[in-house]
Amino acid sequence: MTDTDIERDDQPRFSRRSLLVGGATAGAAGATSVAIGAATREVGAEPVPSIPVDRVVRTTCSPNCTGSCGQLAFVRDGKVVKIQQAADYPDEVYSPRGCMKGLSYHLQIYNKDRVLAPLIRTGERGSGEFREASWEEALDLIAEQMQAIGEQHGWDSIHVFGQVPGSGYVHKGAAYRAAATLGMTHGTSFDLNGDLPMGMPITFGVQNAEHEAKDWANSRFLLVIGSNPLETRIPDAHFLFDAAERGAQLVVVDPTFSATASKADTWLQIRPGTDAAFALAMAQVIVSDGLADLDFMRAYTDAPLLVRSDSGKRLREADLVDGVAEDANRFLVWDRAAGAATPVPLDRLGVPDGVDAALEGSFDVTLVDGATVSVVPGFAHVVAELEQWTPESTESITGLRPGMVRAVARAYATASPAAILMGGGTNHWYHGDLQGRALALCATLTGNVGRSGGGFSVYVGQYKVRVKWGPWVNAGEDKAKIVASIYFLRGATPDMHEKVPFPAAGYKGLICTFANMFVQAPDVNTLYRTLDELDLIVVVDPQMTDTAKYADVVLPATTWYEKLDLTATPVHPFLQLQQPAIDPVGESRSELDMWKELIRRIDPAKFEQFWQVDEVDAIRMMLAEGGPTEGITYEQLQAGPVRLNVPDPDIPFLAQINDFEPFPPQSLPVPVETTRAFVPTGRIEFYKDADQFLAVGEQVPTYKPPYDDEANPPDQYPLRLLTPHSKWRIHSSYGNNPWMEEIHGDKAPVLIHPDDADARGIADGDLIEVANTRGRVEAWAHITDAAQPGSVTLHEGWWPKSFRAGKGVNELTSSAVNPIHEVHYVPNMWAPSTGWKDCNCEVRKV
Amino acid sequence: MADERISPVEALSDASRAYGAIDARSEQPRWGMAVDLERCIGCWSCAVICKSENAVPLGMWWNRILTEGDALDMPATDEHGRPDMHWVPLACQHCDDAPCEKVCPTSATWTNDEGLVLVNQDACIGCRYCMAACPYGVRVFNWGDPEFPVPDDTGMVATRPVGSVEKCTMCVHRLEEDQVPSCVWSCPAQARIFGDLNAPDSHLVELLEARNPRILLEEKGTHPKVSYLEPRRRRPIEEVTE
Repeated sequence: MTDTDIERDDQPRFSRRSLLVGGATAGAAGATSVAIGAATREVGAEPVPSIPVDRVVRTTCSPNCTGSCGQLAFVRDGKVVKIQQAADYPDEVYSPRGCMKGLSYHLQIYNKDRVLAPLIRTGERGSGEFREASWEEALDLIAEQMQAIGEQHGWDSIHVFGQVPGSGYVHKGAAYRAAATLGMTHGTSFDLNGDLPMGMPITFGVQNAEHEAKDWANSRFLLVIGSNPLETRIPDAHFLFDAAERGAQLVVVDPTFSATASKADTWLQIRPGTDAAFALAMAQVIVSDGLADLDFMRAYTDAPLLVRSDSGKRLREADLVDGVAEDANRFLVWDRAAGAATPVPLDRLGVPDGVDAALEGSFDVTLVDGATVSVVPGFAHVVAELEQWTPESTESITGLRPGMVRAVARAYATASPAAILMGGGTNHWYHGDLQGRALALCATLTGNVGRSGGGFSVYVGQYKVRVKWGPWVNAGEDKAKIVASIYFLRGATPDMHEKVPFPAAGYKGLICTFANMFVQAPDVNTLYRTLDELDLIVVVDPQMTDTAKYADVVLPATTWYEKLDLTATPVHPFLQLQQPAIDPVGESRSELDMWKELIRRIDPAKFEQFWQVDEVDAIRMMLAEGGPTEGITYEQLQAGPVRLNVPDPDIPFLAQINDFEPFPPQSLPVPVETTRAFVPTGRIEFYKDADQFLAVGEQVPTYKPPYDDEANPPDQYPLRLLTPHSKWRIHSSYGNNPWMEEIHGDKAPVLIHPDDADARGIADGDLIEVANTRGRVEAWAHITDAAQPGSVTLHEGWWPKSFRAGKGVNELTSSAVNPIHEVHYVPNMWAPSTGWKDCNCEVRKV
Repeated sequence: MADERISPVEALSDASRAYGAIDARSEQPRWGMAVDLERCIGCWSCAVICKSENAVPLGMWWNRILTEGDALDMPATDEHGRPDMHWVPLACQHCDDAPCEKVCPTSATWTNDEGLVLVNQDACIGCRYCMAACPYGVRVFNWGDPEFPVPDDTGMVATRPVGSVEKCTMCVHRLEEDQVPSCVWSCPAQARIFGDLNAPDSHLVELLEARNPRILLEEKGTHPKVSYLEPRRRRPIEEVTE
């Protein structure tokens, strides 16, 4: 005890020290305090006591937001009475993580909409009429109907849909294991959600390549495009300020004035869906101003590889020499020193010593058959394309002043390192791949790939499988057949890849877990037509969502405060547990329990073989596979977050840039052989020579206008409908949270510019219809200068109850499939990525 | 049962507890706070955890986030025709010269020896003079039985009786155990800095000296112990003409 403490104890009150030193509990201190009543200074001298708790449980908040935030559940009398960030990351820059939604999750646990018992439909689908049933009855019914479908139509005609495996590998993985066990098809979310940035597999051969969020702080220049981290990455937003405090410039490109734009040094109000034109203009300036790192382009990209002018295909060694084996068929560059085409190795990046690889010019080569063809380096095609997309020529597309584009391009290219952070606002377009490819070009031209503080990072979707989860999600040798859920939603497409295991009999059943699919899928009116064909719809959810209301059977699911799971996220490299803080509420059960019970009923032999496992077994199975989890134990995870075995900072492509290993690195969980065909040159590719790319003129990054202009012509539907993520929800989760509703209300506002409102006689607060050829909703106009003329903004995720009419904003969004996304098929890696924001509409006063 | 319970601070892991520890403390603390308006992202995490920590009923907030703009999260248009928006988190300013305390007829509102303006709920007679006197509008009144969205007895302190006025206590119950207020802990943008204004080596005092803080409604002469750090100066990219 110090003198200070003694002095403090002399104060006429119970000080902090006296409480601690005296060994009294807060409650006891209250009991011995001075009597109250007299109106004197002393009346308030009683300390406010904390109410003690039974325990505090460290767990992880993991809805579909990518946050994966460590949280503490404070438990009293078996109830969660407070949730607060754990703030215990070994890398302290990540403490605290967690936002107001996670902090209010106990309002979800005890929500009035919580499903407390199994429900069996008694009225029409969607009527919301159910009766409560026992688990036994509900499971028997589901198992019986699944068997009927399986036997009559094939087990693959049952689609299992769940959201984002990274949010919980055990229970989300159990659905894959169940699909593998029974032969059902499992759906996808990363591509259905439009979050798969198709520019990534096309350019780098990987699923995605984001830097961990703390690396933002290492940047000197941050170009944030189509992304609003202040609202949708709340735990990581501070890294932008950390960068700014160290002198970085922050440029935000967004059609509307976002929260993030409010903090920017420069905000560029781009027209929706024109980001590719802007990025191409940036690239054009970088190249024409001599700011491009051409050695970087030669070493790591396909820029020097020769392309045949007769076919548009790359020149291969077998074109020139007889007897070259297919797996040794090298690509060639034009060596200016030798005046000849010369091959480059397939197993190593870079250009052989002494070779002076041309990036421009046209050359003649003689083929094995004696014919002569001209060849040009791929980069010449890129440069020729860029000539069309100057700051001046793109002004009429983007609405951006050429002088600003030029200045931003120069600032970006001369800051070192410089990062591009791209979000769903740029990706969620039919041609989102082209927008991504153009931005990837900017990052690569400036050598900002594989570099801390640089990079081209796309942050949208908690897709990332960061552990080797095969032993858990497969049933022995059997793997789940995975069908991109867009094909469930709308049926097979003409160009669907032959590898898609689409069921021969079509779909007859759906088991939808932890997903508000019938509100949150794109183009829901098309989805409802698919649902009409189904014999069985099972929805597994803790909340009575509008999706659950449409089910035949609703099973009450535990929240993540009631079960054990393993989580990870793209945005930070810590593996964490979800640990149960309380017993399951009501009759709720975990997904693993549910699947076990169904499989025990349907296939007892396989139940014995594959399902005598619990959560801890599953976690140990995944950890034991090593690689990123080498040396990490379950016991370590029980104590707190553990960093995966990844570089620090965790950034992609280090082996490629530092050690010249060919692209692509592995995208877990598939083996690298599966994704190698994405970039056949083994290099960063800006010239794609597959037939489909040549057919549509997308060999090199280019700009194409919004696709919905075809389905909803601008003369009838002149407004672009933007549906960004809301800060008050994670998609539709928390859409029934009383505290969130208290802050922002429960009526969906449609943000509209005063000019567009005036032209339609709409006043602030008016009820308006938002409509296109796919659907319509009624909501309330909010007139604001933040909106861009020619667009309206209606945040996704509002529950239908927050509209005057309609099933939610996804009545209007599009499920169009871009055939380029069907050139290969690796679910969630090269698969149709949807274009939510590629959506025209008209509004009128109701 | 109650005997087995422990204080919510005692229950923390060492790492979590270290995160929330108050940094420097003088012999006679005078608690204060700074809010960094550059770092505030208007997320209401501080407001929500306040509501949770202190069992604040539905319809009442001890801590709110004002948008300096047109409406919630909507910018106003500035004199150059550009949109402009900032957030200002607002709770009790813990004034040295607290108007609420002066008008309280029962001395229910009082200032403790660490400078915190507190309300003795049992002595409050619900006259609401203090609400009229407070220039910041941060006090709320229990008109009826408090409504909660979750079962009873959540939060870390007792609820306040019907007919009494309540407000931010700077989480005085946490200070007793050497932990920062919950809003400070829970700000994901690290925009809130709590500390002892009497401790020259506290991060709070260092920041206040470095960042030229402003106080709200200075003209009222209330001498708040909550200060606001101005947003950084922007460095807009200049358009090139050629």
